[in-house]
Amino acid sequence: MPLDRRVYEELEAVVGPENISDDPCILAGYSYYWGAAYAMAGKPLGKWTPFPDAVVLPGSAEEVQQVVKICNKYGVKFKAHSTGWGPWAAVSQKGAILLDLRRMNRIIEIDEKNMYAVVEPYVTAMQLRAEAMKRGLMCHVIGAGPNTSVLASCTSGWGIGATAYTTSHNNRNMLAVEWVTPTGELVRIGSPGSGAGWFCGSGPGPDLKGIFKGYSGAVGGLGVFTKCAVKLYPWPGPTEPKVVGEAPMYGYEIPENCRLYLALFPNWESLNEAMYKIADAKIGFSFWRSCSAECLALLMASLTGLDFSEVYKTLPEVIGDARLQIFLASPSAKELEYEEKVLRAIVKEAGGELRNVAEEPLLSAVKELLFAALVFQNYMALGFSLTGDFFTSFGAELCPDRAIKAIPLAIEVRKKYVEKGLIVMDGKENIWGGPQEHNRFYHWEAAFEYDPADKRSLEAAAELVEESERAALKHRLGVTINASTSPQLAEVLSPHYSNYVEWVRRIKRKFDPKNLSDHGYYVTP
Amino acid sequence: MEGLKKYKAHMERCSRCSICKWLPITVVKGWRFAQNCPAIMKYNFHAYSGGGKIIAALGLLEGKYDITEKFVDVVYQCSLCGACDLACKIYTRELIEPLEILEALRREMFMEGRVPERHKRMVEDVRKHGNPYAEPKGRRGEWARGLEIGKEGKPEVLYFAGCTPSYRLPSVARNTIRVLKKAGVSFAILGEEETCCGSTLHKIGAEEAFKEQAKKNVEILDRLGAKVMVTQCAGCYRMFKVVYPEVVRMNVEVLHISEYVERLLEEGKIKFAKEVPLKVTWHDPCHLGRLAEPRPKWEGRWEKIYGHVIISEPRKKVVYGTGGVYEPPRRILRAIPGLSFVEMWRIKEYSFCCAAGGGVRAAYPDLAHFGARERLEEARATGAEALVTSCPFCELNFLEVVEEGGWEMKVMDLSELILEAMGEAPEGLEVRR
Amino acid sequence: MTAQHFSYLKELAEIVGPENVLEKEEVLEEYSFDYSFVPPKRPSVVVRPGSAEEVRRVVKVALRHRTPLVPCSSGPPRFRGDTVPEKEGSIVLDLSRMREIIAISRRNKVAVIEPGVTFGQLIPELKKKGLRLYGPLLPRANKSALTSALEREPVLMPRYQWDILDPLVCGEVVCGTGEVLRTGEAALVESKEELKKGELTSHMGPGPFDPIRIIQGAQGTMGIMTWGVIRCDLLPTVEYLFFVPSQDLEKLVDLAYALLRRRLGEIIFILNRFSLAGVLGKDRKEWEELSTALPPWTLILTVAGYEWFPEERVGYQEEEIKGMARERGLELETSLAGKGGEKVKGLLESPPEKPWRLKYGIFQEIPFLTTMDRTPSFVDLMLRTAKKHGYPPEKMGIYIQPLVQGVCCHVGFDLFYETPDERGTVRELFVRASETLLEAGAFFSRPYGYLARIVYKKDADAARLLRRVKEIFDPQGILNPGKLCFWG
Repeated sequence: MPLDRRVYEELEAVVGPENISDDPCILAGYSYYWGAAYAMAGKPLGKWTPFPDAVVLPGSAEEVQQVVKICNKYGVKFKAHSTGWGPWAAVSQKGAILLDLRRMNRIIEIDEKNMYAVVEPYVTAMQLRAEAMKRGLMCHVIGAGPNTSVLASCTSGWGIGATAYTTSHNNRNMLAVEWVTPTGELVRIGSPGSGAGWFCGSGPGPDLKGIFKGYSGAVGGLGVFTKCAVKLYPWPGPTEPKVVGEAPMYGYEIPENCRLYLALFPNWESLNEAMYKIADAKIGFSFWRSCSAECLALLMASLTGLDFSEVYKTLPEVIGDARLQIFLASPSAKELEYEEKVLRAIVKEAGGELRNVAEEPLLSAVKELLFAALVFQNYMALGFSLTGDFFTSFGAELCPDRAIKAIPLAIEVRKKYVEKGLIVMDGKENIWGGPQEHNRFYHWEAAFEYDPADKRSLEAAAELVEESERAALKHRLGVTINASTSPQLAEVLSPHYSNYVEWVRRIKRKFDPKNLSDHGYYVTP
Repeated sequence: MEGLKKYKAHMERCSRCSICKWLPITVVKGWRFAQNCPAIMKYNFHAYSGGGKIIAALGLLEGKYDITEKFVDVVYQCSLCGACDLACKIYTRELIEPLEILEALRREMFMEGRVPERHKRMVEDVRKHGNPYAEPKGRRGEWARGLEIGKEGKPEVLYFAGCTPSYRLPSVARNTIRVLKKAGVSFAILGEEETCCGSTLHKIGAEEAFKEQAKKNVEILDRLGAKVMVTQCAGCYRMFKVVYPEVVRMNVEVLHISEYVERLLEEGKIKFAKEVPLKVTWHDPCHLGRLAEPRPKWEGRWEKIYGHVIISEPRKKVVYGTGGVYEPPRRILRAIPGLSFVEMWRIKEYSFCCAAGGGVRAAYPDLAHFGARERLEEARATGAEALVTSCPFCELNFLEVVEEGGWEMKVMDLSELILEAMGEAPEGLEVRR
Repeated sequence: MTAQHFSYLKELAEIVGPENVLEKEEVLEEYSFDYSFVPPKRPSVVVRPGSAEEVRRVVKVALRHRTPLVPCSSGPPRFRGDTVPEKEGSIVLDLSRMREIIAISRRNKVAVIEPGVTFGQLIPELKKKGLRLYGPLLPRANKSALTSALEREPVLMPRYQWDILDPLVCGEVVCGTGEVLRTGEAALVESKEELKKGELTSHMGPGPFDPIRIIQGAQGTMGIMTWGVIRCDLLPTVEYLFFVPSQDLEKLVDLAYALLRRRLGEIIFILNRFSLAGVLGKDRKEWEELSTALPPWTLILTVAGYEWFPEERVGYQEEEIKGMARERGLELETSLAGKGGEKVKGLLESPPEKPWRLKYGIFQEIPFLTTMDRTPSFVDLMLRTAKKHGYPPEKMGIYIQPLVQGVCCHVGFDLFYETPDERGTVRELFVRASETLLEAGAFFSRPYGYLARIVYKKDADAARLLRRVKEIFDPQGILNPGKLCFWG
C-alpha cells in the first residue's frame, strides 16, 4: 500500500530524493529471497516476501535516527536491512518501510595494536578481512560467506563460521555498538558511552548487548544498529593471499607456514573424541566440516565438467564421512612442527587418518581452491548451485557432546526424503559445523538442497524442516537456527527452555512499546 | 515480454546473495576497490544490481506491477558490462546466466518501445548517418586526411576505425594507422564506406537495427575480400569477433590492434627503440576482455540428476570471460623500454566498467561519468601517471571527466605509447566536438 | 518494629528455618559496612537460604512486602560496597550456605557451583580433576567463586578470554520478579542428574538475548544466581613461571602485546613494585623491604605444556618469548628478589586465607578498563594526581591485567591507609582521581560506589537503558536498590 505522502516527504527531506523510492520495481528487490521452504514466521512457501511500502537509503546514524523518529511520529513500521541474504531480511508484513543501509559502508577504524575494527552496517566480511589481513589480522567470517555484513551477524543475525575454533562466534566478537533504538534514541553501548573508545561493549555494569543479541539477534525487531566494534585475531596466514587459477576456480597459494589437512575418522564419535583432545592440546587454527562427500562430489562435477557418477562414487571413498578440515599455521616453524606432531598423534589415537591436502593425489590438484573454500569460505554460495535453493536445520551452539546428537537425528529425518527423490541425494547427511573457541562449544547443522520450482520438492523441504525441529526439541537441542527466526516455532520451544520467549517479549515491549521495529522474525509482541 | 519468459526458471534461481555487486570474492584485496558494478554503486537500490534487475523483471513477468519510468531507468542505467554475470556464474554456472537474461530483457523492452527517448533517436541516427553521433556520413573518413593511405594492391589488413575515432577521437585512428604504416603493413581503410558496428544498438536491445548494421558490415568485408580485420576499438572488436558470428557468417579473422602489434613485434616488424619513461596502468575494456570471449551456441535440454540437481544436457559451456584479450596489451606495455607498468585491483575478466557503454553515455551521462570517476580513482591509487586503454569510448568518457579538473592523470590510447616507443611522436588524445 | 516486619520474619523463618534468620546486633553490624567508602547502613535482617527453592521463596516474600534484598555470597571482609545496603529495612540474602559443588567436568572444563562455593573450597577440587581457574589474582579463600565471575573480575590468562563475559557461562537465576530463568545451555538441562554431567559450555541465549550478560556485572540488581557454570582451564603437566623486570612500563606493555599477538604463554600480568611486593611478601615488613628491592615494574608470565610432548611446547615458546623480550631489552628471570618462579607459581595457585592486600593495610581500589597502550599515560596521570593530593606514589599498588586476548586490559590502582587522616586523604584522592581518570577516557565497566555516580552521569544513555532493563528483571526494584544507576 502506498506510503502516506506526508511521511514520504518527511523521509525524503532527510535522505534526499535520490535515496527514497516507492516504485514497485525497486521494492521488488527487497522482497525476493532464497529459502522458499522457509514457511515459518508467517511467510508462505516460496521466494517472494511482502513488499515494503518504501525503501530509504540513510547515509549516517543521524539520518537513521531521524528516519526512525519520523516512523515513531506517524506510527510507521520499519525494518533495517544491509546485505540482506535471507527471507528474514525482508519486512515481515505489508505496511512497513525498509531501511537499506548500503550507503553506510565505511570501516571507521582498524586498531591494529588492540586488534579490533569499527564498522558500519554495509562493510562486508570480504572487505574487512582483506584490510585486516594486510595488518596480519583476521576477522571472523560467518558461514554464509564473505559477502555478508559483519555488523549484521554481530548485532542482529547469527555468527558461526568455519574458523570459529580461533575466531569464535560473532556473539562473542562484538565489542561496543552504536544503536538507534526503536523509539529513535541514538546510543552507544559500552566504552564509547564513557568517551573511552570502542574496545569494550560490556558496561558500565551489565552488558546491554545481552538485550538484543543471544544465539541470534532481533533480525530487525529492535531498531537499527549503525556501528559495531568487532574483534580481530592474529592471522598467521598470508597477509595478501596470492590468487592462483582462473574463473571459476580462483584459489589462494598455500604459503610455507600453512598446512591444510583432512582428518578422516572411523565414525562421528571418534571425531568428537579427537576434537576434545585437540582442544586440550591447545593446537590449531581451524577445524571444520563443510559438507558431505556426496555434496562435494556433485559440486565438483558440476563445476569442472567431470563425470558425475565417477566423482560421486570415488570421492566418498576417498574422503569419508566423519571428517574434519584442519588448518594449521604459524609464523614459527617450531610451533608448526609441534602442532603437526601432536595433531598426528591425536588423530592416530582416535583411529583416524590425517591427510595433508597438498600431498594427496586427488586433492593436491585443487589445493589452492580448497584453501580458498575451506578456510576462507569464499565458495559458500555454491550451496545454491545444485538446484538454486537449500535449507538447513539444527545448528544451536552447544556443548560438543550435546551438539553431536544432531547427526544421527539428521540422518534419520532426511532418509525418506532422499529415498523418494524429493531432495538432492547428497548423502546420508549433509552436515556442516565445527568447534568454537578451542572446542568449548560446537555447531552441527544439517543442510539439504531442493528445487523450489518443483512443488513436491518444495513441500517436502518444508516438511523436512518441521520434522527436524520436532526432533531437535524432543532431544533438547536448544533454540535452533530456524527457531531463532520463527516467533511461532519459538513459542513452541519456549516452555521447554525456561520460558525464554516471555522475557524476549518483555524486552520487545519495553524497548519498542509501539511495536514499530519489524517483529516478524523476532518475537510476537 | 514473451522472449523473456523462456528465462523465467533461470531468473527464479537468484538467491539474492548480492555477489553480483562484488568482484569474485577470492580476488578482493581491500575495502576500496572491491565493488564491480557502477550502477549500484551510484544508485544503491538493490534493483540496480544484476540480481536486482532480474528480480525486478521477474516481478514484471509475474504481473506484480507494470513497467514504470523507474523500471526503464533500472534496466538502462546499466552498461551491460557483464561483471555481475561473471561474479554470479562462479557460483551458479549455467543455472542463471544474468547477462543473457539482461540482454533478453533489453530486447523485449525495445520491442515494447519502453526505452529512453535518447535510445530511440540513436537507432534513427545510426540508420540515417551510420553512426550514433548523428554526424554526416560524408565526414567519416576525414580523420585520415594527410595520412597517405595507399589504395592499390591487395592489402593484408583491413583497418576498421569505428565511429568514436572517426568523429570524436581522430588521433586514435591516426596514431594506429601510423603504427601500421611504420611497421610496413599493407592495409586499407573503409573511409566513408565504414558504418557503425552496431554495438550500442545491440546492447540497447535494438535487435533489428543491429542486425542491419551487421549485415551491411559483413557485406563490405566480403566484397573487399578482407582476410584480416584489425581495429583498436574494443566495442567494434567485440561485435565483429563475438556477436556478429552469432547472427551472420563471418569470413574474416578479427584482431584487436594489441593482438596484431604483438604479432608484428614477434615478427620483428615493430621494434621498440625509444624509452618512454612513464608510470602507467592499464584499463581492460569490457568489450576487449570479459565480453570478448565467444559464446558457443547451445541447444539442449535441462535435466535433473541425483534427485534435483539441475544440469544442462549436453553440458553448456559457461563463458567466464577469461578468454578475452588480456595478455597482448600487457606484453606490449612490458616491452616498452622505460615504461613502468602497475596493475589496478580490478583487472582482466573482473575489470571495472567505465560505465559509458550499453547506451549509458547517451541516456545517462551522469552514470557514465560516475563510472569514469571511479575508475580514475583506482588508477590514481596505483600511483600511475597515465591510464592507458584501447577503447575510444572508454577514453572519451575518461577524458570528459578529466576535463572537469582536479585530476593529475593522463588518459592515453595504447597506440600513442606504441608509436612513441617506435620513435615517432604521437598525437595526444583530444576530443573533437 | 512493625507488624509487617514481624510478619515477614515469620515467613522467612518458615522458608529457611529460624536459625537462618539473623537479627542479632553484632550480625547486622557485620553486614552493614565493608572496607569501601559506601556509607554504612544496617540491614534489618540477614537471611541465609540453603537452596535455590528457598531463594525463590524469599524473593517472593520480599516482593510481597516490597523489601529490598541485598545478595551476598562471599565471607568478610568485603571491599566494593556492592553488598552494603542502601535502603532502610533491607534484607541481606547471605548465600554462603549454598555451597555445593554440583559438578566438575574435566572433559568440558567447567565447574557447576552454587554461589556460596568459595575459592578455598573449589580450587583443590578442581586440582583433583586436573583443572584450574583462569583467575582472578590471589582471591581470598572465603570469597565466592561464582560472584567473582559474576563481577567480571579480571582473569590471569587473557589468551583464552574470548569475551569479557568469560569465565562465566550460564546458570540459574531468580529474577526480581520471583521467576526462575535458566540462561544459555542451562535452559536445556532438565534434572539434577543431567546437571551433574556438566554438559554446559554455551552461554548463548536461549534465543535472541543473552540474559547472562544482564545478570553479570549487575551487582545483584537484576537477579540472584542460584547456581552457575564457570569455565576452567586445564592444569598443565608442566608450567614455568618467569619474571620480566623493567624500569619502563612501556616496554612491558609492548612485550605483552607481542605475546598476545603470537598467542604465547598462559598467565600474563603486570604489577608495579608495590603490588608485587604485596604478592611476594608474607607480611607488611617483608612487603616494605621488597617494595624497595623490586624493579619498578614486572611482567609475570607462565609457559606450560600439556599432555602431548609438554616440554617441547614449553621449549619453543620459551625460546621465542626470550627472543621477544631481548628485542625489547628485557630478560626472562626465573627468580626475583630471592623468590623463585616455582614458589610464586605455588602462591598463585593457593587462595590466601586473608585478602593479600590487607597485609599492608586497608585499601581502596580504583578499577577500570582501557587498552594496554594507554596504561602508561593513565599510570602517569594517577601518580601525578596522587602526589597532588598528598598520597605517596611509592605506596600505590598498580595491577595491569591484559584481557580479552589483548583487546583491552584491566587497570587497578590500590590506595592504602591506616589512620583516619590517611583515610580522609585516600577518600578524597579516590573521588578526584576517579573523576580525572573518567575524563581522561578510563572505562569504569564495574562501577562500585562513587564510580557508579560519575560514570552514569557521563553515560546517561546507559543509565536510562539499564533502568528500562531493570523494569523487566526487577520491576519492583527490590534487588539491591541504590546500586549502579538505580537511585531513587
